[in-house]
Amino acid sequence: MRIKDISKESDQLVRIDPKDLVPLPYPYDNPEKDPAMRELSQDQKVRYESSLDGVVGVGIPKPQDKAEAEMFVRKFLSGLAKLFEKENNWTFLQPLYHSIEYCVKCQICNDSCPAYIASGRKEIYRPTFRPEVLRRIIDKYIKKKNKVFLKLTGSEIELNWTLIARLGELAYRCTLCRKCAQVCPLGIDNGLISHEIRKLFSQEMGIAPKELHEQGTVQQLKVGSSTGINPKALGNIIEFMEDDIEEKIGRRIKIPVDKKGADILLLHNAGEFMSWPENTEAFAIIFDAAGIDWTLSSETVGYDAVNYGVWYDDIQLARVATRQAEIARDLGVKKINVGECGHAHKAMIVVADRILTGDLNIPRESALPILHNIVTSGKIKLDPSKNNFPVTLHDPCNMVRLMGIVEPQREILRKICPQFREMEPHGVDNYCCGGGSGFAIMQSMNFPDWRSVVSGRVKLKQILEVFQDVISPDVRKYVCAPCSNCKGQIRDLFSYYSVWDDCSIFYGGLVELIVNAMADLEKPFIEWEWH
Amino acid sequence: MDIFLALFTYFAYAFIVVAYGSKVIKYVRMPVHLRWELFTSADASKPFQRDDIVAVSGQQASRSNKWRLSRVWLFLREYLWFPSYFSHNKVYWIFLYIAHIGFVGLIIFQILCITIAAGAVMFYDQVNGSIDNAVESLLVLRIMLGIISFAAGIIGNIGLMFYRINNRDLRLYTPLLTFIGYCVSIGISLIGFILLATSDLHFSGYVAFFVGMIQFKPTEISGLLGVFIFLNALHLIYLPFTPGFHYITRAFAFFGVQWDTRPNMKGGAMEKAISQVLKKRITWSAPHIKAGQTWEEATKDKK
Repeated sequence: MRIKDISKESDQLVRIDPKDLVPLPYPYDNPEKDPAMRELSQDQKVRYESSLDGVVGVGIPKPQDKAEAEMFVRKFLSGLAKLFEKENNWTFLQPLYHSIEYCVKCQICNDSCPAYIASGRKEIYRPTFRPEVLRRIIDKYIKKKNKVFLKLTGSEIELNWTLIARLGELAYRCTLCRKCAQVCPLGIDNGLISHEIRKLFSQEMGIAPKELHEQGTVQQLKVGSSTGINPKALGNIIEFMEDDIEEKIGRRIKIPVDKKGADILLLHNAGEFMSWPENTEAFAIIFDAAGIDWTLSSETVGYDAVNYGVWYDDIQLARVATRQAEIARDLGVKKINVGECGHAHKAMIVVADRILTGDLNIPRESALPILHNIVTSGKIKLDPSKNNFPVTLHDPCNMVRLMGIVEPQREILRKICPQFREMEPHGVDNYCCGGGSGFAIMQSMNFPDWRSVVSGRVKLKQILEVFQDVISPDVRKYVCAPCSNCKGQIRDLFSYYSVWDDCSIFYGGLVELIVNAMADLEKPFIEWEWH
Repeated sequence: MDIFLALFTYFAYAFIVVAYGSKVIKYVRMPVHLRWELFTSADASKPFQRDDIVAVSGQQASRSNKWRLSRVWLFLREYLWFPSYFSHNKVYWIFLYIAHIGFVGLIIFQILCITIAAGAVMFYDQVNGSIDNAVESLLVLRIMLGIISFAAGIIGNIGLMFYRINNRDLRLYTPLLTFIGYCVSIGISLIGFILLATSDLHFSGYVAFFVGMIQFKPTEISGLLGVFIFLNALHLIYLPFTPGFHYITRAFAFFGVQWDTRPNMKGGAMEKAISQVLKKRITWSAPHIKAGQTWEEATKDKK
């Protein structure tokens, strides 16, 4: 396949063939037993762009007529030009400019991309493929370079609806894990280019996966949370969690809400409230035991740490971060702490540091160093023998590679889990879970199958490898993933391959392991019930 | 011919200075961007210390000086022996490294020749017009540099060219201009080597050419040396059309983006810079954005 083939009309540019996929270890070492990816229905194929790889993530509707297709192309070009304007894109202009101009295409980033490796090295997933397509469009249609120069620089490409729609989908085949950027000796960030293509589609063309936009940031700003939980429902959930804590540890803990002047406003991913309330409960138990002065917020947006804007739209990113900071300011808390949610860490603590000014610039920290302090200072009594089962750690890209928080979580695990073991590679060199940048919540058509079969495959391989010596279902094992989205992806990945049934590999957060090791609790906190 | 070569060389030097200068100015004038950091394996294994975490916003801490120094070392290390290439593709690394020795050697060789020429012009009276007398002490260095850079230029660029042709991953993404660049580099190195080996071991003709350039009196140039000078000038014009300026711009990428942990302190310079960019007006036209608003207004608009 040549790069310029992306604009050629065809039924499907690339096919995911199970025989090409990177092999998995035992008990999934027979590719013929791999669950087959769902095919799109004829109706879906007719309505949505799916000619890239037979998968629909964004759901770009096909044009009704030629005029609509031409308008689509014009909008794309207008947005592309805006990406290089200081007014419209001060947020990423310098890094984008560098990545577009100075890549030497040495391809050493190839081996860092989990989707490219897992797919059997399909050309479209190569980290340099989409930047090269974009670079050619820029040379020909934005810089309008002459024919001789285009020939010399290999910038031949035909811009049409098909190319743009495929490029829009292709921006959602990269998890923005930025492992490719990490290995680049020239500082080229191909993940950022995917991010900027997503932004162009969202901010200019009004196109984004509905789970990220309508049901994501828009719903969060309007209702309070991307989960749809409104403040009233939150009250019920908190009451449920207090009951559940009482049942589990034998005493009631009051979860503080809207406590003015507290030391900490704890921002949880609201997905925890819905899918893993034990994570929020564990935080409450630990903070109560350690005597931390903390609170949750019941204000709209204030109880959901997520900020999907960081994946696709700078305006939405700024809106959510600003609202969260306003709530912290109004509560008069000393600082904001972000719970076990990777992208919320990155968005609120690091990225938003160049958005929030004046009284909105509230100190913001990860919860991991606080947990590290509690565990290592002896504020709570811990009995590691309660966690005497094999445990491994998944490093969420946003916290680790993108923020440098590498050791706190490891020191905790070394202290409380006698059978802790590292998967390879780990730390900043980790592989993405395959659900990064919104993939874990994108449920459109056959996209969940793609992220289990392709983008999450390398992570599954790592997990199976690290537990090979205890792979029997008779031994319970635990993947610690201190990130809500990573947990969602690992849950879906394990369900897809029946990993819990076949190998007894469970997953969960870090705080659950801490509470499970608390010496004064009679019952185990981790219940080993698949959910 | 002599006048043409002189004018072409003047033009080439002016062109590369203006082209690269404008790129640097463009970079420097770019507004502050969002924090978009990235950490390398050098951060992975060291003991955890509070100062080492970027788990806090600008209000509380930024990276320690020790960490900053470690970044400088990482950066220099990449310049000196290309460890990223070495660990990912050793064959590519060998040819790339040799080619870069040739490239850097050629630059130093030219700087040396120009310096010698400038010295000869400045001390013309003292040496009674003999250029070689003025630079006798640098002769060995000049010959050594010439041999190393020309030999490395030939081996490295031929190796890279064939490797890029034979490796599908690289061939697919390598434009014609890159192969032209290899050919020009090979041509320069080959001719330079022939000149050294046959007619002008001291390269005094090349130094004399620069003396003429400095004095605005083009000297007589003939044969292979003329081709060498022409290809060198052509190479200078070619460079700004390639990603070759990554030698400089990667510093912006690493220190200005990936390792940019400058904190945003209340009332500080960063906060002022952010306040300025938040006043910029956006023209994005998606339905959830009101074109014409400033960033600050759009941020507070809970649409």
